[in-house]
Amino acid sequence: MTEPVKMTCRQLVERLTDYLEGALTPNERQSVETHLAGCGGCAAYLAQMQSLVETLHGLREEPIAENRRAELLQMFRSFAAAEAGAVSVPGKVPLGIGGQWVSPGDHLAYFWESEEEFDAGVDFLSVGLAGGDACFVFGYDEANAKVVELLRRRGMAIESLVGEGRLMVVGGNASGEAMLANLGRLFQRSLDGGAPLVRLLGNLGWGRAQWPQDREILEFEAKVTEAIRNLPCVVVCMYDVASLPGRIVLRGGFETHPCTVRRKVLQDNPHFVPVADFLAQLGREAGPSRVQ
Amino acid sequence: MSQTPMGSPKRGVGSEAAPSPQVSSRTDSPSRDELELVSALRRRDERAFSTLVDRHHSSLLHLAKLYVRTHAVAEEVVQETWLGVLQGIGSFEGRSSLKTWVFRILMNRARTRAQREGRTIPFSVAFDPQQEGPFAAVDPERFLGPNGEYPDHWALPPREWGRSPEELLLSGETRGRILKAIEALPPSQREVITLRDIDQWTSDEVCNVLGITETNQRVLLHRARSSVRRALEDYLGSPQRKG
Repeated sequence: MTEPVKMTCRQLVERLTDYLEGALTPNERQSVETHLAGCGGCAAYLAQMQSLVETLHGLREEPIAENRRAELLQMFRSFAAAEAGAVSVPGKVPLGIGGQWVSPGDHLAYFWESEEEFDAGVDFLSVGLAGGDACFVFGYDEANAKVVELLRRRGMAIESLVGEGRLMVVGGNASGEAMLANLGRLFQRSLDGGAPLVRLLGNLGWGRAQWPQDREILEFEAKVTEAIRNLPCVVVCMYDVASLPGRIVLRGGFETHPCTVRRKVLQDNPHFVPVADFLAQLGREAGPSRVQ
Repeated sequence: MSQTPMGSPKRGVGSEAAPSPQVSSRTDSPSRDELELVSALRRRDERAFSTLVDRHHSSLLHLAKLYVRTHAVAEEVVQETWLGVLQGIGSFEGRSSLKTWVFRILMNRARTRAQREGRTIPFSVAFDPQQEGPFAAVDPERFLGPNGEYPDHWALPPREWGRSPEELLLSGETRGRILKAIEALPPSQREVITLRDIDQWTSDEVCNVLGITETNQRVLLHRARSSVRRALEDYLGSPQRKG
């Protein structure tokens, strides 16, 4: 057997991990141990390294944030529920996002923070179109165009669908009441025409020309909740978290919608303010109709 | 035979016959505990899902962050992974451990997402130590030159820290410095040291999930540990030249 080679300190520090991992040949290991026996500096270096590794063992990672955990459990439950129902969940209709289910009459705020999330929201309509529902793209022009384009990319024959009255693109109005009345009329026409369900994907024109002032849009949102409660309709309002003022996200998004979707997870919304209370609060607010 | 030197390595790794470094593990199969989790998950037992999430979510997240731009996207990738776990658990065959299987789902999702984001990190490059520059575990200044009575020996030998790991961990500032040193590492080194030394994965697990050789993994671990040790020594007080 060949004599183990004498090792220098410079060499040892480069081989130390291999040594600790048991990756040295018997000869190499002998070299290391012989050197360690006679070298206080290297013995101290080894001790430091071992101490470091043990210290790292003691560094625990941040446990999963409680709200994140809740979201994942919610996802789990939706998944299990959808699966149990196989094709359908009695009394529910598919949201089209994350395998989740909603009830006719639901009014949801969909908070999106990336283009990918926005895109995922459009599945709410595509799943409806596949199922024969009457689908409305409602909002300001650029947003409507974006949604239509995303539907087109999914292979939807836009012109035929519009021609058949299965897909409708609707713009805003300077009056909240007029918007509400218009949508009501259009919904009823679709239902009378035999549509099993009406779906609306909204991108409201907050702060835009030819749209009402914020307070009137808030009123509109609140009234939609009431208006569709007993109708075979589901309304999803897209909230652009990156661009909208915080107050709109809070009051428009969180206070007027009984359900929310965030990171594509559907949840009941504890911040929802009952319609009558919300409208009363709006009425009490004096001053200009831009949200203070 | 040789006397046990001061501070022999723990776990007796230095005293076993050295295995060939290139052999990949054949022992990556589900533990009994994992098999129970698999059955429970198939029954859609919520507690089983919860247990698995608590066990792996953090690691899934830091692994995802290697591939995608933002924390939020990483969270999405991890959520998609959990969905994939639920969808696929019925066909899990136990050919690998449950852990490896879950993390492979993550790696797929993360890479797909990275591609969609237009990031092209060829997987083989990401964990290749040869892509990094030259490396020295210790500042060369700490050693004597190649000539003289003690060639390449310590000029300024290190001293033991005189503080136990427990004591080091008690200091928030020390913990912070260590974490900062880890943050400063190149991503592949950071990932390996996190998985091996903080998450306490075995070498086999790391190699199986990352799909890298044991040698590459060891080199990355060596560099990471050396750099962090160096940072900690600097912080705790390295020996100074006299005069």
